[in-house]
Amino acid sequence: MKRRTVLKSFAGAAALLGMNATYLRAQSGPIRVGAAFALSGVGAPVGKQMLAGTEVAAMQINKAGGLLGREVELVIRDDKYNSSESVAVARELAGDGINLLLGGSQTVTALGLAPLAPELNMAVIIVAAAGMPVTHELFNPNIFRATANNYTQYSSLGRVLIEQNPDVRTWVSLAPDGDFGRDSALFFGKAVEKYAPGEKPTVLDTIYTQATATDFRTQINQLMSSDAEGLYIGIAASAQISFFQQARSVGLYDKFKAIGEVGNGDITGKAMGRNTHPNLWSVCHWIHNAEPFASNPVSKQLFEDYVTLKGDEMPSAQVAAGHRAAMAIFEGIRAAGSTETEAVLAAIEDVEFETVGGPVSFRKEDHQLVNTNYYSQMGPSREDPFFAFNKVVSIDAAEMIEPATPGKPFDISELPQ
Amino acid sequence: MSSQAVFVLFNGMAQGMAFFLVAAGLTWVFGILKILNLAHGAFFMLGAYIAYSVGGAWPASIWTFLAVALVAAAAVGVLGYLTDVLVLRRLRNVDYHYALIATFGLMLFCEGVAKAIWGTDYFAVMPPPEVDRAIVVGGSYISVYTLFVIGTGLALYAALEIVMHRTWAGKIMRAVSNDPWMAGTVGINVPLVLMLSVVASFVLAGFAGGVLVPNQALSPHVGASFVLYAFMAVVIGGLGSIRGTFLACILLGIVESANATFMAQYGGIAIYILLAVALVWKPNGLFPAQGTT
Repeated sequence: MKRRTVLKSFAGAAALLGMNATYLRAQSGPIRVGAAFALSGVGAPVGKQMLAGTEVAAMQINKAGGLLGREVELVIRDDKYNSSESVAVARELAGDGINLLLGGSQTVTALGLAPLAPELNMAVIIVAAAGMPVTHELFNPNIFRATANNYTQYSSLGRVLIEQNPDVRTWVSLAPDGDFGRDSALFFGKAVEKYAPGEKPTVLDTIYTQATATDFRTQINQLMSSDAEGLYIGIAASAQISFFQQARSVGLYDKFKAIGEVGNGDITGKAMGRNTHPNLWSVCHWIHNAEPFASNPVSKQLFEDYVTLKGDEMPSAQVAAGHRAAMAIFEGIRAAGSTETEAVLAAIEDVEFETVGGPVSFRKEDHQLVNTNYYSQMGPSREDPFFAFNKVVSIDAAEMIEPATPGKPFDISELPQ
Repeated sequence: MSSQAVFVLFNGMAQGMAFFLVAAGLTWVFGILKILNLAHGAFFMLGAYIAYSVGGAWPASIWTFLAVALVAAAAVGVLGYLTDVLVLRRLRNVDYHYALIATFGLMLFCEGVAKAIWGTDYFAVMPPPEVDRAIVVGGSYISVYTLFVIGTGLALYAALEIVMHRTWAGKIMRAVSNDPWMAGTVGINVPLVLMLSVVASFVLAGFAGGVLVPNQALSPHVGASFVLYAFMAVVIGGLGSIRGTFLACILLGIVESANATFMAQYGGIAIYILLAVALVWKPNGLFPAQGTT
């Protein structure tokens, strides 16, 4: 052996020994993907369902032989529905050598994660945060949003509500007094005006409340005293159910012919049962037994595997959100043929993959998901669980998506009205 | 008086009585044992879950509803007895900081138990049919169920006042509260009185859970929303004073209602201003109980 070859071998061995042990570990064994969801606190009911979807996705990938010849391992953390905790979790996972992360199950946690991703050299899939800043002023190339944003979701909801209920001529919104509440009510109202057949309907001033309020009697009285017959409710989770409990008793169901809600969906249906409003429309991620989902092979498989994994035959729509986000990162790894951050980020920009609601992809300019959005109408039922989805309507995001302006705040006034 | 002002007063009263139903047990146990039970909201929550499990989501009648609330009260009373034996009794002669830490731990334990038994899904219980409707007063829509809550709160206050100030049992409790050693020397079974006081406090928490469950989505965190106001009322009214807590609850309810009506864009801020003013103006509360000044 030549002396030069020996020296090269020594140099190579020294370089390998000097490499970070974590890096070496990352190149062998399972592919470790961080999964940070709200698993405690008020966000837990939603976060746990999203995590279940992600777990099913990992199970499906592993059952099919894994990725790059390796198994996928989820490293699960609780972000506690808290921005600072989501940041702490991301740092901890990065310190453990994890560079691929599913997080931001809500906007509050996504706003913490998004700016951190480049610093930690992570590829982050924002699971379900719909706040506009994520793909606008907070945009960076390390994040992808795997859900429709607020503008698309709530302007589409407004469009669906007015197209399905053209006889309702006066609308009002009840929204939490914050960025999300103001934005979603504004997007909803503008769409109602824009897409109404015939004469422009009246959209009254939004009534504001607190996102975590427990008493809505004042707002209910304002709603009952208004001329409105159509309502958008921007409050979510337990607050929305409390609102319905308090509102139903005073006759709000008789007054309002149509109600659109922020996306609680079957969470509200399960809680309210036969006291569900008869014409309640929701932003809908998935209903496994309703068309077009029922005949979709991804949807069928997700339901079967969810039942196998969790032993529960009533998966929430949020399961599909967790599944879709996980599939985005898994398909990115597959397409990249690597788990390196740069390679995965580049690959995700080009992938198109199947979900419970059809094919989806990401817009290259701002990494916003482009998909078909669904809106479900539910009402009470005589059979257990005493509510039923009666109709599902779809709107292609391409029709309702805003222009990409990464790095710049979204301004609805710049859009054609 | 404008219809808006009437609504603010009515709604404030309704909220205030809901707060009082929760705060009554809290101030009761503080008045007797001088323990601030941070787990009170958690036992309120357990009362609500028990009422839901026993009575279901659609109570058949107001009598069934009240009977279920009493079952919840009794069940939480039993939990109170166990809590006294296992936790509170051991804390009577130690620094109050230990009691705070212990009851905080108890609160987390109760939430964990609720999640293990009932899960994290939300449930909704409807008011009984007799009160599941509205009346219109001066253009304002008023739920009959909230009238029922107001009535229950007023009845509970009257009952507590009578028990504390017009009965031998109340006099014995006040004697033990003021000077347990002296009460013991005159033949009062002080440990028994203290145990019964704890059980009574928990019974009140369980009853409040059973009565107020149609007001809120049921989740392991339902107690937190009420108990925060209850703590404020106890502080403003005077620690251990039922009368002070009652008035403070009404004050808080009206301020909160006025805030939501006239300054919705600053939602929730007025009660904190009220708390700050009350602490500066009357640091020992509106009606400080003996031994707390």
